Amino acid sequence: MENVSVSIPSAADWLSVSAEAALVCTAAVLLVLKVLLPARAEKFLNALAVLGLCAMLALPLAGLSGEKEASFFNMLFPLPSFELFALACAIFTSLMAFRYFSKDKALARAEFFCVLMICTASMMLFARSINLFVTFVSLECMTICMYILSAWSRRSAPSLEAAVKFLIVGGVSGAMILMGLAFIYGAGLSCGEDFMYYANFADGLNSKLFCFGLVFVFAGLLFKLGAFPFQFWMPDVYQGSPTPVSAFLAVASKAAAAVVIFIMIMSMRTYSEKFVLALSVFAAATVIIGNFTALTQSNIKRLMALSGVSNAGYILVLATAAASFALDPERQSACFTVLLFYLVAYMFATYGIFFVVNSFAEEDDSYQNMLDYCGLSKISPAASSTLTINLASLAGIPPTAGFFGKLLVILMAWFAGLYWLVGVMIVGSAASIYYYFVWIRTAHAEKKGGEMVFAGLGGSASTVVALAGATLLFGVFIFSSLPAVF
Amino acid sequence: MQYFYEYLLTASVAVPLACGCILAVFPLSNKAARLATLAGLIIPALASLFLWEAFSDFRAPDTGFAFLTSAIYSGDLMPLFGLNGISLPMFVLAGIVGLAAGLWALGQKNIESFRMYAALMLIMSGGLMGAFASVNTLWMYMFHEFALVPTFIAMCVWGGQGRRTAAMEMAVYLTLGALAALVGLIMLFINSGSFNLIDMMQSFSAMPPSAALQNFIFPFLLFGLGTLVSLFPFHSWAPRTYAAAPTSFAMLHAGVLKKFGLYMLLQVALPLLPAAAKDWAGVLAALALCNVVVIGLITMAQRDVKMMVSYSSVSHMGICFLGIASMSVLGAGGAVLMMFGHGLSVALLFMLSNALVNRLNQWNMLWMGGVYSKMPVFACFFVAAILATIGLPGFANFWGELSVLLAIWKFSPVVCAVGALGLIISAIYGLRAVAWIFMGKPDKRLIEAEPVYEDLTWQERIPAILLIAALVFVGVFPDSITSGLNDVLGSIGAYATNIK
Amino acid sequence: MYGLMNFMLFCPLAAAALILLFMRKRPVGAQIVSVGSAAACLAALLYMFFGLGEGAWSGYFSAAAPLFKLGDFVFDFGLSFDSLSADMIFVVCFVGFLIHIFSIGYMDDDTAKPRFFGGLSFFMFSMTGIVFSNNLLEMFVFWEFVGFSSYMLIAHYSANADARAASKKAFITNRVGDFGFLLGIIWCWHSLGTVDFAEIKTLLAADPSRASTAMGLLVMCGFLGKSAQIPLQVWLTDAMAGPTPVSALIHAATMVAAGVFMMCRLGQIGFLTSGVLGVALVLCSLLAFLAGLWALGQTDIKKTLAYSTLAHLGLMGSAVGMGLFGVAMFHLTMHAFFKAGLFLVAGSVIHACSHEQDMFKLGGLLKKMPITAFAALIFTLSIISVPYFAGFYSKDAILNCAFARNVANADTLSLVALILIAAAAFLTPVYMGRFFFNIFLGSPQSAKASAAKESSAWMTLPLVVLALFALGGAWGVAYGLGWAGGLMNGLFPSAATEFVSAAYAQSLKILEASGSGMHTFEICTVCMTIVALLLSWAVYGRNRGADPVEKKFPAIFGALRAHGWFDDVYNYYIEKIQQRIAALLSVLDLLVLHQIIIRGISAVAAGFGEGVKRLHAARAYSYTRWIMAGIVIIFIILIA
Repeated sequence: MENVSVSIPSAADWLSVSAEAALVCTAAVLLVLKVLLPARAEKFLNALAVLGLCAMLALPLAGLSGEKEASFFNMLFPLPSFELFALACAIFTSLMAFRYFSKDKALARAEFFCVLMICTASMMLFARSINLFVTFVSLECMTICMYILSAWSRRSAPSLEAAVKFLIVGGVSGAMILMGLAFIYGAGLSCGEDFMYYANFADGLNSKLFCFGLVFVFAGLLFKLGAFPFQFWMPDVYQGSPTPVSAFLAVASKAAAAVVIFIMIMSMRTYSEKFVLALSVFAAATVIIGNFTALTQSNIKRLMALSGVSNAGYILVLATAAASFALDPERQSACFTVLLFYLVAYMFATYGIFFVVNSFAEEDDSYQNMLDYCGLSKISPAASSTLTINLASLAGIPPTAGFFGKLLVILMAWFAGLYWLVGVMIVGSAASIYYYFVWIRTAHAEKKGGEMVFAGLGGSASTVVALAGATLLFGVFIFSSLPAVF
Repeated sequence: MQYFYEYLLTASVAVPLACGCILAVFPLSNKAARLATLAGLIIPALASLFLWEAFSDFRAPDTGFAFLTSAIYSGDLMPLFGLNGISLPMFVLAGIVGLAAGLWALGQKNIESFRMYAALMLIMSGGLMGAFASVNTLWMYMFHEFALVPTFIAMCVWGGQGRRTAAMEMAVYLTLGALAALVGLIMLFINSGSFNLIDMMQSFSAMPPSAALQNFIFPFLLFGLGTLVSLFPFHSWAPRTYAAAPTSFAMLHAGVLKKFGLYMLLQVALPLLPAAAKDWAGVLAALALCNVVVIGLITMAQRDVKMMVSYSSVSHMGICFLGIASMSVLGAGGAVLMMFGHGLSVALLFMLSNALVNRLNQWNMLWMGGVYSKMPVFACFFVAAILATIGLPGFANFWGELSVLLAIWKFSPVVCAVGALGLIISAIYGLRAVAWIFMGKPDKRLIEAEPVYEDLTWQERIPAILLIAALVFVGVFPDSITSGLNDVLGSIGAYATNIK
Repeated sequence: MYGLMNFMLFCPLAAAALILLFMRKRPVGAQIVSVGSAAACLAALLYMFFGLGEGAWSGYFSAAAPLFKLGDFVFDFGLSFDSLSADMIFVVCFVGFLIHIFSIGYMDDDTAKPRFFGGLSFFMFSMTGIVFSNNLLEMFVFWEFVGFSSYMLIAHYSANADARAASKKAFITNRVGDFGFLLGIIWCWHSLGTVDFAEIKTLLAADPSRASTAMGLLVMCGFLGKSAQIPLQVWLTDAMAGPTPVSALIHAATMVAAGVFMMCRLGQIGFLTSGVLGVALVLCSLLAFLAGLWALGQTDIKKTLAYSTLAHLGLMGSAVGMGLFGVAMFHLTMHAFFKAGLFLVAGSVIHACSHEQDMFKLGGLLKKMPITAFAALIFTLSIISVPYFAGFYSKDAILNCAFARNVANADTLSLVALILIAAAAFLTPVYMGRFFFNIFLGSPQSAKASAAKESSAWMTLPLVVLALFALGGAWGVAYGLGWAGGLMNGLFPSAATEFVSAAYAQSLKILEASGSGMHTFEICTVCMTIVALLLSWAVYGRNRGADPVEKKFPAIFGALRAHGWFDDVYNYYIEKIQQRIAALLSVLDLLVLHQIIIRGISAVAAGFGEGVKRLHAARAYSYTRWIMAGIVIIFIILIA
C-alpha cells in the first residue's frame, strides 16, 4: 500500500488547542502529585486545581487573537466563546464541589477535579470539531467522564443507580452515532467525497445513505441535548448524581450539544430546509413535555431536569429558526449569537439555583422536596432573594437575562415565520410560570414544612450573589448592545 | 443646568429603584429604612408634579413628547424617557399613588420585616414610573413587568385571606396577558423596524400596514392588554388579587398598574393600528358593556368590603374601554381622565377599606353599622371616595365618564344608554355600602368581638388628603390635563375630532 | 352684576367648606357662619333688585368662564339671570333665610349641628347654581350636587334605620332620574350641537322642528326624578325621616321645585314639544289627584304634608303641561311660602310635643301654642284656596286655565286633566281640614300634647313672616300694588314678580276669551271648597284619638295608606329580581368562569403532566425503547 504520509501538526495547530492541552496537562500533573504527596495535602490539591482552572481562563482570551480558519488538518475551528463558557461551567462546578465535599469528607479527592478537567477539555474539542471523527471521539470521552462524575458519591444508592442508567442509555446513543458515522463514511466512499468533514455535508445531502447516517448522528446529539423522545433519562440521572455534577450536566453538556447541532445546521447551508419540519416537531414536543411534566413535580432536582428539558425545547426552536434561514447566512450567524446569549443567561440562572440546592445540610440532596424550602426567606434572605431572581430569569420575567433570551428566540422564530412554534412557546412559558412561582411562593411562606435543614450559603454566598447580579444586569447591558441581531 | 427637566425625569424613575435596591441589599436600621423609603417616594412624586406644571411650554411640536431624554444619553435600546399628553397624567398618578401607598405603610406599626416590604414597594413604584415615562415600547413593557414579582412576593408574605391561590392565579394570568401583548409588540417592531414609539409613528404614517396585517396584530394587543386591565372575560383574577394583596400593593396594583394596559392601548395600539381599532370597536364596546353591567351587578351582590371595592374597580374599567371604542378625541381623552380619577379614588378606597377591616377584623359590611358615630374623619374620607367613584361632579371621574358617554353616543346611542346604566348601578352599590357601614347600629355579633373603633391616625390622614386633593384639583381644573390631551390626540389622524 | 352673582353662588360654598374644615367641634360658630352666608346672599339679591349699585337690573344678563375643552366638546361655566331666575332666586334666598333662622331654634338640642348647617349651606350653593346656570350640562352638575346635599341632610339622624334607608332611596331614585336627564343632554348636544339655553333658543326659533319629543321626554326624566312625579315619587314621602327644616326647605319649597323651574326654562326656549307637554299634563294631573287621596291614609303630620306637596307639584306640572309656564311659576312661588310655613308649623308642633309625630295623639294646641296655631290657620286657608288668600289666586288660576283649555279644544286629554285637577282641588280642603282640626282643635289626646307650650322666638318669627306672605303674597301680582317708587310690588320686590304678573295677566285674558261659562265655573269652585271643608269637619271634626275612616272602613284606609303600592312593586323588583340576578351572576362568575374554565384548564394540564411524569420514573431499557421510537419518528417526518 502506498506510503501514507503522516503529517505532524504544526506549531500553529498546537497554539489553537492551547486551552485544551493545558487542561489535560494540569489533570495529569494533579494525578501525579496526588500519588506523591501525603493524604492530608488533599485540600491543597483541590485548591490548586481550581486556581489552575481560573488561570486557564486567560488562554482562550489570548487565543482570541489567533487566525480565523481551521487548524489541525482543518478538523477544528476556533470557537473561543464556547471555550470560555465551558471553563466558566467547570469553575462553578468545582466551587460547588468544595461546598458539597465539605459535607462528606471521604468524597473529597483530587480525581474529581482531574476527571472534570478532562471532561471540559473533551467538551471544547467536541464543540470545535468540524470533522465527524473528532466529534465522535470527543463526545465519547466526554460522556465517559460524566459517567464517572455522576457515580461519584459511592455510598448513596440513587447516585449509583443514576450512573448505571446513564451508562446504558449513553452507550446506546454512542453506538447509534457510530452506526450513523459508518453509513456516512460508506456514502462518502461510494461517491469519492470525504463526508466526514462538515464542509462537504451540503453536497452529501442528496445521497440517501448519507441522510440515513446523518439522522442517527442527529438522534445522538438530541439525546445529549435532552430533546423530546430522548430526554427520559434526565430526571433520574439529575436526581441521583451529586449536585455539582447535575449542574454541570444541566448546563455544560446541553450547551455543547446545542452548539454542535447549530454548527452542523450551518454547515448544511442551503439544504437545511429539509430538516425544518422535523426539528420544529421535536422542538414543540420538547417544550410541551418539559413544561407540563414539571407542573406537578415536587422533587427539586427532577424539577431542574425538566426545566432543563423545556429550555432544550426553546434551544431547538432557535435551531429550527436557524435551519429555515438557510439562504441567508448572516441571519444564521445572528442565530448563533442569540444561542450563546441564551446559554449564558441559562448558565447564570441554573448555577445560581443549584448553589442554593447544594447548601442543604444533608449530604444526599436527591430527596430534596419543595416543602424543604418553606420559610427560606426567614432563615436566609440572601438565598431566597437570589433564588427568586434566578427562578424569575428561568421563567422569563423582564429585568432578568432569561427574558431577553426568550425575547430573542421569539424574535428569531418570528423572522423565520414559525408562528405556531411561537404560540407553543408562549403556552409552554405560561405553564412554566406556575412551577417556578410555586417554588418562589414556598420559599416565602412562613410555616416550616419539610424535614431537610437549610445550612446557610457559607462560602458560596459571594458566588451566588454575583450570579444573581449577573442574571439581573447581564441581560440589560448585553441586550442593548446587540444591534447586530436586528 | 441645561437639561434639568430631562435629568429630573430620569431621576424620578431611577431614585425609587435605587432606594429599593439599597433597602434590599444593605441591612439598614429601622429608622434609616423608613427614611430611605420616604425619600424614594417623595422625590418621584414632587418631580412628577413639577414636570406636570412645566409640561405645557416644553412640548416638542413634532414628536409631541416633552423632556425627551435622548438629549442626555442615547443608545439604540437604552431606555428613552419622555412625556406626552397621554403619559403625563398617568405619570403623575403613579407618583401620587406611590407616595400615598408609601406614607400609609410608614404609618403602620404592625408590618413585620418592614425593610423587605418597603424594598418591594419601591421597586414596584419605580417600575410604574418607568413604564409611564418610557417612550421605547420594549422598556415600557419591561418596566411594567417589574411589578409582577414584588406583588407576588408581597401577597405571599403579607397578604390577606386566600392569598396563596390568588397570588398564583395572578402570576399565571398576568404573564399570559403580558406574553400575548409582547407578541403584538414584536409584530409592531418587525413591521416598523424599531421599538422607539416616535420612529414607529413615523414609519407607520409613511407606510401604513395593510388592514389585514393590522387586524392580525390588534387582537393580540387588545386581549393581552385587556387581561392586564381585567376586560370582561379575563377579569376573574382581579377581585381576589386586590382583596388578598396587602394595602400598599393593592393601592399600587389596582390604582396604577391596572391602568397600564389601557395606557398602552391608547399610546401604542390605537395610533399605530387605526383601521384595526375601528373594526374591533364593536367587540370592544360589547365586552366593555359586559364589564359595566354584568360586573356592576356582581358588585351589588358582594358583602365583603374589599371584594366590593375590587369588583367596582373592575366594572369602572368598562367605561374606559368604551372611551377607547369610540375612537374619538373626546372618548380617548375621557378614558384618560377616567383612568386618572379612578386610579386615585380606588387607591383611596382600598386604603380605607383595609384600615377598616384591620380595625374591626370583620369583612362583612352587613355587620358593620354606626361606624360614623365612632370614626367621623374616616367616614368623611370614605364617603368622599365613594362619591368620587360613583361620578359626582367636582371630582376627576365625573369629567371622564361624561366625556366617554358623550363620545360613545355617536358610536351608537344604545351602547351609550347601557353604558350610562353604570351611573345607577354604581350609585346603588356605593350608597348601599355607605348605608351598611356608617349608618344604623352595629350587628350584635360584631359587638361581641369588641372591635377597635380608633379613628384614622395622622399618618393615615395625610395620604388620604393627598389623594382627595389631587382628585378635587383635577375635578375643578380639568384643563390641566385636557390641554395636553387635546394636542396629542388631535394630532393622531385616526381620531374623529368633530363628532357633533 | 357678575361679581354679585358669583358672590351669591360661592358664599354658601365657602361657608360649607369653612364649617367642614374648621368648625367641626364648634356648633355656635357653624350656625353663625351658615346663617350669616344666607343673610349675605339675601342682602346681595335685594341690593341687585333695588339696583342701588351701578345700573339697575336690566332684563337679561349672561357671562361665562371657560372650564372644560376636549375635542370639540366645550363646556363653559356660565351664569345667566333673567326674570324667570329672578323669581326663583328670590324664593330660594328668602325662604332659605327664614328656614335658617327657624332651624337655629329647632336644632338647639341636636348634637351634630355643624354637619347640619354645613349641609344647609352646601344645599343653598347647589340650589343657587341650578337657578344661575346658563346651560343644560351645568344644570345637571348642580342637579347632582342638590341630590347629594338632600342625601346628606336626610341622613342627618344617621343612627336610626329609616333615615338610613330613606337617604339611600332618595339619592338612588334621583340618580335614576339623572340617568334619563344625562342621556337627554347627550342627545341634545349631538343633535343641536350645543347645550346653551340662549343658543338653543335661537336655533329652535329658526327651525322649531329640530326639538324632538323623545329628546324632550328624556330630559323630562330629570324633572320626574327631582320633583318626584309619578314613576319616581316614592322617595319624597320617605325623605320626611330627615329633620323638619330640611323637609321644609328642600322637600317642600325649593329643591323639588327645581324640576318645575327647569321645565319652565326649557319650555320658554321652545325645547318642549307638544307631545312632551301632553305627557307631563297627564302624569302630573294624575299624581295631583292620587296624592290627595293617599294623604287621607296617613296619620303622621309630615307624611300628610309630604303628600300635599306631591299634589301641589302635580298641579304645577299640569300648569307646565298646559304650556302656562308663568302660572306654574306663580303657583310655585305661592306654594313655597305656605307649604314651607306648614312644615315649620309641623316642626314647631313636633319640637313642642317632644317629637310626637302622630296627628291623632295631638289636639287642643290652639290654646297652648297661639302664634303657631294662628299661623297654621292662615296657611291652611291659603292652601285650600279661600278667596283673597295667596293660594286662591295661584291654584284657581290653574283650575280656570284647565277649564278654559277644555272649552277651547275640548279633546279627551284636557277633559281628563280638568276632572283630575278639580278633584285634587276638592280633596285639598278635606285632608288639610283633617290636619288642622285634629292638631289644633278638640282636647289633647296624649300627655305630650298636653305638656306642649309655645316655641321660642327663633321659631315663631319665621312663622309670622311666612303667614304674612301666605296671606298677602298674591295681591301684588294680582292687583299690581307698586310702591316705594316701583321698587316693590306688594310684598315682593317688583323684579321678582315681573315674570309672574305678566303671565297672570295673560292667563286672565285667556279666561275672558273663553266666554261666559267662566264666571259660573269660578263660583262653583269656591262652593266646592266650602263643601269639602264641611265634609272634612263632619268626618274628622271632633278628634277622637284615631282616624274614623280607619275604624269604619279599614280596607279603604289600608289601600290609601299603601299609596298605590308603588313602593311594594319597587321593593319586590329590588329584593326579588335585581338582587337575585346579582347573586346568580356572582355565583356564575365564580363557578363557571373561575372554577370550571380556569381550574379545569389547569387540572387538564396537571393531569397530562402527571401522566408523562410517570413515564420518566421507569427502568433504563424503556428509555432505550424511547430512543428507538425517536429515530423512527425522525425517519417518518423526513420521508413525509
